Amino acid sequence: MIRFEHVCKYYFAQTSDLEKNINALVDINVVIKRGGFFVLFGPNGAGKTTFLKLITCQERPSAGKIFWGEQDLSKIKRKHIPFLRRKIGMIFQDFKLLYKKTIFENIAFVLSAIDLPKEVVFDRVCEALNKVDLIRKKNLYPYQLSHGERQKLCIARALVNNPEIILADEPMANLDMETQEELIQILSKTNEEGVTVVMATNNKKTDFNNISYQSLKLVGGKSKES
Amino acid sequence: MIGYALREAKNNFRREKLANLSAIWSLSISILIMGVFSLIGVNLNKVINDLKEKVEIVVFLDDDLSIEKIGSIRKKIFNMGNIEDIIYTSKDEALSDLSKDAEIAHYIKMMGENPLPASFNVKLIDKKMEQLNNIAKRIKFFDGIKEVRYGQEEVKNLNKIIFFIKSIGIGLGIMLGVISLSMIIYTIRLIVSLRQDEIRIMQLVGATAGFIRMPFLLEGLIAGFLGAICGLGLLFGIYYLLILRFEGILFLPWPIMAGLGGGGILVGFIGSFISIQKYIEV
Repeated sequence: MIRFEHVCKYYFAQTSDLEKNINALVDINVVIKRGGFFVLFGPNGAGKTTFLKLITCQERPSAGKIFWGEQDLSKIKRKHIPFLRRKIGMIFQDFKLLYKKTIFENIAFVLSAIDLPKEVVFDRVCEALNKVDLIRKKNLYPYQLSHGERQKLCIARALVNNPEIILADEPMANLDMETQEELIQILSKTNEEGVTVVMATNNKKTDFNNISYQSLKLVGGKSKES
Repeated sequence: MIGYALREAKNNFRREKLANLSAIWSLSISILIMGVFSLIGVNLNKVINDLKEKVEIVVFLDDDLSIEKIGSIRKKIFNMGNIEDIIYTSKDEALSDLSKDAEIAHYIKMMGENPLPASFNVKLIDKKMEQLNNIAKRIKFFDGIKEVRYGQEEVKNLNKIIFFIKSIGIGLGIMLGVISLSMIIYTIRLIVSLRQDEIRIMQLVGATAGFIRMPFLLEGLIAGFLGAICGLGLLFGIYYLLILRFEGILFLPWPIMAGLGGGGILVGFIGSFISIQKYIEV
């Protein structure tokens, strides 16, 4: 489904006496299979978020190509990017919740942003909240939820638009084991329904509950596939 | 999409009422000032046109011309074409008219003899300045003509005044228009920066740039429209106060009003377009 071919990403930085490139990703070659569960391991600063940003076209590769099916993402026109992103469900490292909106409104916001009619929005939001067991709390605000519930809310928001792929950036950060298991179960069930899941994590001890997954380890922007 | 954009524009307005009101007020003052100068220009133009209607060529004749010579000059002038009427005033009639003013009559009496020449008042059918110029120049070279006048200096001076006033009006209006534009840019940027999180999420979930941009553009349009309405409303108020005291003052013709109103809306739109561009990068 998604193919990285010799992908490099560097950022230009100017220090006090030097101008240099910072290598975020170096010669990445990987294929993420449709319907697969892909885990990206690596410490902080390894390039995991950059990897995910390249898929959503928030960044362009400095070298190499990224393919989504047959489409070369490095050459995609700006006006087509929003339509690509509608196929993706994002789970952000910093949640990116809107604290002045209720839980229901946070999710509905996603569907309004792509101009779906009101009748469709209500049913879809309820369906997504049901999947993460937050339907009874739909009129609460994010600050009234626990850390784990906020993460479940993020998953619901990612699922509401029936994406082809979920990109989850450190979804297990700061969660206890029980909540981590719960989230893994939700993602696993989503994966079983045919949605590709790509998850970035720095926690090698995460228990994937006998899920069959493909993985890639990033260290200093370089890869070790396993 | 339009419904969503209108709802969001309305919410933005409510959220930053003070900033929006400042932008609208600044724009309405710009339009008011340009409107005042336009009003002055329109009415001065009317004065000039009225003057032109009354402009006649006055042809002063040499002294001691015979009646036949005077008649011949009159016929020659009439044959030039475009002449509506020629009224002859003799030296005695000119003296009699001027002597109605006691002071002038006293001075003329002191002089002993009548210094005033006989004259023709020539009324044209087509009173355009070029026609007046043309005919006056030709009459000047006739035999027996002392001097030809048709108020050309007065009309020229009035035209210069109008030009000066219009230039000041336009200059001031442009300056204030730039200030209004800056205020609208500031207001929209303030609102956008308060909604950066929402905008970012919208971009990441697949909202198009046009969809994100639309509420802010509408907000700018609405601010421009309200500024234009307020400005023109204030201008009409001033006009109303003036016509209570002075008769015959014209208001702005429709094309100028539409221009001012349209200009206000355009400033609002451009301001919001400029301010949102930076934040819409996908």
